[in-house]
Amino acid sequence: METISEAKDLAISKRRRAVYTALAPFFDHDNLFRALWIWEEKYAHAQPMKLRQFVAEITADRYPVSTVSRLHVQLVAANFIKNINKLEPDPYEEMVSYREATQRTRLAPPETVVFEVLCNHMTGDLEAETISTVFKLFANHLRVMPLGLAQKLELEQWIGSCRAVLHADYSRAELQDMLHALYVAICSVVGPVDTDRLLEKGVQAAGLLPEAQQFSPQMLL
Amino acid sequence: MLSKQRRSSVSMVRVFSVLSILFCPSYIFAASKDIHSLAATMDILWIVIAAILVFFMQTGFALLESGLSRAKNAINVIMKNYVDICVGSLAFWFIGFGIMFGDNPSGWFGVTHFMVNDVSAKTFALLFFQTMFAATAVTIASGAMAERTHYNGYLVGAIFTTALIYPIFGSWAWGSLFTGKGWLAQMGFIDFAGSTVVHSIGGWVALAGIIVLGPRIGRFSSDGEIRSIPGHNLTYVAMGGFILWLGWFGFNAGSTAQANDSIGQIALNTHMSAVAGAVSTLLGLIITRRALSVSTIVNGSIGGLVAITAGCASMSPFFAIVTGFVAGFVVVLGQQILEAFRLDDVVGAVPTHGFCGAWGTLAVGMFKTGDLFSVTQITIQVVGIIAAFLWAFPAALIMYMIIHRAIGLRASTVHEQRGLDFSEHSEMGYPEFQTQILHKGRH
Repeated sequence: METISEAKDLAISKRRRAVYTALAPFFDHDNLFRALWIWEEKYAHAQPMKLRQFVAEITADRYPVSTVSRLHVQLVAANFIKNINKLEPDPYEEMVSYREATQRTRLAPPETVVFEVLCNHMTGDLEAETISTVFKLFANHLRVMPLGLAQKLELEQWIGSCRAVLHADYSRAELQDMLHALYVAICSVVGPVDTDRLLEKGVQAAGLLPEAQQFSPQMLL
Repeated sequence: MLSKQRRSSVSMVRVFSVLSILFCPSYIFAASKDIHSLAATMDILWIVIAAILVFFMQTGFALLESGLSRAKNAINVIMKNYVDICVGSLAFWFIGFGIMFGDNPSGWFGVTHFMVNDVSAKTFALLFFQTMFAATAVTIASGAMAERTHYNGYLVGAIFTTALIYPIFGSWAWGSLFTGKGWLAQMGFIDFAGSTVVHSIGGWVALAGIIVLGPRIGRFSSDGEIRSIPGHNLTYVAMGGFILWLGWFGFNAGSTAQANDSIGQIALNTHMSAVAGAVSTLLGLIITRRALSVSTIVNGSIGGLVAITAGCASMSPFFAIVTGFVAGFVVVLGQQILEAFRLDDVVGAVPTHGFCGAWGTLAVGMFKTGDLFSVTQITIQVVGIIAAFLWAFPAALIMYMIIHRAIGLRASTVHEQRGLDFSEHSEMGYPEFQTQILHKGRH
């Protein structure tokens, strides 16, 4: 026999799946999980009527009105869906691992976080083979940059592990040079037109980070 | 009724004129003096109108080159076009005109008429017209070298091109305005409006420029892949093509330096060659199953215009069409040759102006009315083509190498990433859309 608390957990799990299903088409990975955590902490136990407030909080004037309306409609529809098999699986475990990763990231200064997210978005859409070539060229560029030994070691690890987390202190100029080295490396592999598009996409994604309020990604260009 | 009255009054005037001519010799003298004066004024008027049309070609070049560049470099290209005519005109007035058209006893360069202040009315008009030609020659390089050239380095190159490289060759082919004659002109070299003198010279300077600069980052991959970098506004490209076409009527027909009866055929030949150039480019693209790109078609018509520039006054319309037709293929093939050598010419200036200019100059030897396929004339034309290359290309190569060493010619890759609009001019052509490079110094 189910206890009241188990039944409540099941209900929250179903609502989490509904929110996840509704938000997934609208947000990229980082923003999706950030939004899910906002819901988890503030709105999971709130009245369904608070959904509008939730939508306002996660969009924060960054999206057109039509997108915000569509997002709200999707959220309401997903919450009232009868057949739960149509919902995505519960993302709670992924949310926990995302939070662990971001908590580690948050130890880094905002410019490093912005830099990492920008770089990750620039390389995110590339094929595995292309990424390895890009990182090889990027590593070659980094070797000739005037960086400290600890920084070089960390960067090598960062490149090798593909999206680990940077902890060392980097000046704005160093981050700028590193981003430019990555730009040139991607340019050499996929050409300047696609690279400009990836850069634009990366800047837009990084601009949505809370850290971007303290350090705009444009400052790295 | 009205037309009957008019006819009778016209007849009266005719009768009066005939009687006046028969009985008043002094009237004949005065009338003929007036007619000569009127003809001279009309010549000057025609030269100035043609020069204004040639000046308008700068708008065409600016639109074409800017349209074929990426949005982040649009202002830089416009600025190069806008300012190179300014510095070029000054340089040409200071020394270029004297070297090109001054007294030329040696046949190699002029030695008088520097900083011209006191000459005849017609010479002033010709100076104005030729200044526009010099500006055209120098602006050819700006498009080829777009998107990765330091602005100051480019301008220094523009000054030396209009002051020395262009006028020295010009004096060989055209230097006979006052006394003496250039050595090519003495041989009988024909380049009516400057296929070689203006366009090939500009093309060879551009070739030297792109060799010293190297390609834009990512233009060619390490495994030999050629990546096209599309321009940001193809509407500008087409508009630029139309404006150049319009200006070319002044360029070619104005080179008569007289409002005479040859202007009609020259303008027709100019038009037919441009048309044939565009059509042959279109056919070339269809045959080779390539995309019918507007930039290639526009370059095809410009290739036709460049090619007919040398022979527009000495060919029949049929051969003008043949000349333009071949030029269209030269444009397509020339671009492929450059890419095979990994030379990055943003607007295709080298094939369009350099190669088509050489072809057009050769075509005069082959298709000259009344002297078709003359071996002597063809030989002279070939000598002129080779002389132009052997002078302009090494001279420009040395010039750009010195500029590169002394003040820097190639923009840094960081500037290339940000775009030269921002890094060279602190401006942006499209600030509403180019958000990624705006940092405004905040945070």
